[in-house]
Amino acid sequence: MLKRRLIPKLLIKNLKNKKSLVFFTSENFKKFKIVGDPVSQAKIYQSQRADELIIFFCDKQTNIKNTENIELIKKFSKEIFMPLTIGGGVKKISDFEFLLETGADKVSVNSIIFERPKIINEAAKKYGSQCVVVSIDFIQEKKKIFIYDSKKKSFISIDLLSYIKKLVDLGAGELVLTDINRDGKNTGLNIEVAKFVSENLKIPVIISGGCGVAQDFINCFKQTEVQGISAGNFFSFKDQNPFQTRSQISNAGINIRI
Amino acid sequence: MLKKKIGIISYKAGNIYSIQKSFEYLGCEVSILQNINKLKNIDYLVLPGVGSFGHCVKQLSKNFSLSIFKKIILKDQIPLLCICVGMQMLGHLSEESPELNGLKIFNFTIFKMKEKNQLKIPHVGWNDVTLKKNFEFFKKNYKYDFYFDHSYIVKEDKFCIGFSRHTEKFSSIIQSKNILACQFHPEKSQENGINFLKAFLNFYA
Repeated sequence: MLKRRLIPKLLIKNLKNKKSLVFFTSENFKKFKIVGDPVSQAKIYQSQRADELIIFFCDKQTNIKNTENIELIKKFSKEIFMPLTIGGGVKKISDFEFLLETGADKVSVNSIIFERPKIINEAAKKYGSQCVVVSIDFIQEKKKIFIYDSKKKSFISIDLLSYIKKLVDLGAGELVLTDINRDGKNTGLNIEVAKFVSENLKIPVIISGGCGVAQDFINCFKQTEVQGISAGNFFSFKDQNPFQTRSQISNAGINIRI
Repeated sequence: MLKKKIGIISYKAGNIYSIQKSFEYLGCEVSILQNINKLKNIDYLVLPGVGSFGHCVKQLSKNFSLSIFKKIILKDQIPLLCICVGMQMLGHLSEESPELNGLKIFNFTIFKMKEKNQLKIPHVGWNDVTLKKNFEFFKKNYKYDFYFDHSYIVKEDKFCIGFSRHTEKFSSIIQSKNILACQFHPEKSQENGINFLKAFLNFYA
C-alpha cells in the first residue's frame, strides 16, 4: 500500500554578503531565519529517512537557470538519492526541461499559474502529469479562502476547490497547499482545508504550514486524505527529526515508511 | 578491480544526472551516450525515462536509431536497465499516447491506472514491491519500499518478478534475459534503490 509522506521543505535564498545560497525558514512568509547550508541539511534529512524534499528558490530572480542554482541542484543530485520537487521562479517549459535534467523529479509552479495557467497543460503533455506540481499559498479568514499571488503581492478571494479542479483538468499531478497564517507558528496544520481539498481531489495533496508537534502530523493524517505533510521549521529547529516523528506517526497506526 | 562501465542513453527525457551519480556512488564509470552506433567499452546500458510515453518515444527515435538500439539489446545482448517510462517503452502501445508504438521488445500494453475508491492518481510516493522470486539481495515474498511517480502501468505477466498494488496490481520489476526494468526510481529510493542498482550489476556480472 502507498505510504504517507514526510517532506522537509528547504527555502533557498542568496545572501548578498555571504555570496552563497542558504537554507532558511519563514514565519508567515515574512520573518526569515537562516538554518545553514542546504546540501548539508538535506544530507541530514536523507540519513533520517525523510521521504522526499521540496526545494523552493525564493529570490526574486529573473531566471531560475542561474549558475548558483545549477551548481546547487547538481550538488543535491550528487549527494542526495531521494526525490526532489523543485520550484521558485518557473516560468517557461524550458525551465521544466532544465530542472528535470539536472535532478528534479517534479517541478513546482506557483505565480506563473495566475498569468499563464496553460503552462500546466503544456508541461503535462510533454513530461506527464506526475511531474507537474502546483503549489498554492493561502490564508483562511473564517470560511473564506484567499490565495496569494507572490508576484503581485496580493491576495485573491477564490472558491479554492473549483479553482484547483480547473488546474487538475489542465494536468496538474500534485498539489502543495501552504497556509501562510500558520507558517512557522507551530499552531497545527489547517485540517479543515486539508480535509475538504484532499477528499474532493483525485490527485495527491500535500499540506504545509503550522506543524508544531508530532501529534499535528498524526491528527492531519488521521482526519484527512492528504498524502504528505511538508514542514520547514519543524524539521530544522525542533528536537524532533523525521526519524523520530516517523515512529510516533507509525505507532499511531498510520501507514508510513519506518 | 576494473571499474564497471555504464552507458546512459541520453535523449532529453529523463533525470540522467541522478542516475549517473548513483552509479558513480557504486564505483562505476559512467558515460552519457548521445550516440550508440559504435558502442565501445560499455558493460551495461541504462534507458531512463521521465515524461509522457509519446514524448519519450519521439525523443528516443529522434536521437537514436531504434533498429540499432534493438540490435544491441536483442542480438548483442548487452545488459540493459530500464527505468520508469524507459520500462514502458519496451512494450507495444500505451494508452497515454496511442498514436505511437513502443520498442515492441515485450508484448505488453501500458494502461492508465483505474480509479478506485479514494486512492489518488498519479501514484506518487513510497510503495511496497513484493518479489516473486529471489533476486540477488532481494528475497522472494518479501516487501521492499521504492519510490514511484507515475499514472500508467504494465500489468503483471510472466516476466514480472516484482509487483506492487495501488488501485490495482501491476508489474514493478520485469526481467527477461539481458533486460531488467523497473517502474519505480531506484536512483531516488535511497538504500533499497542503491541495492537494486547493485543487484543489476551483480546479476549480469
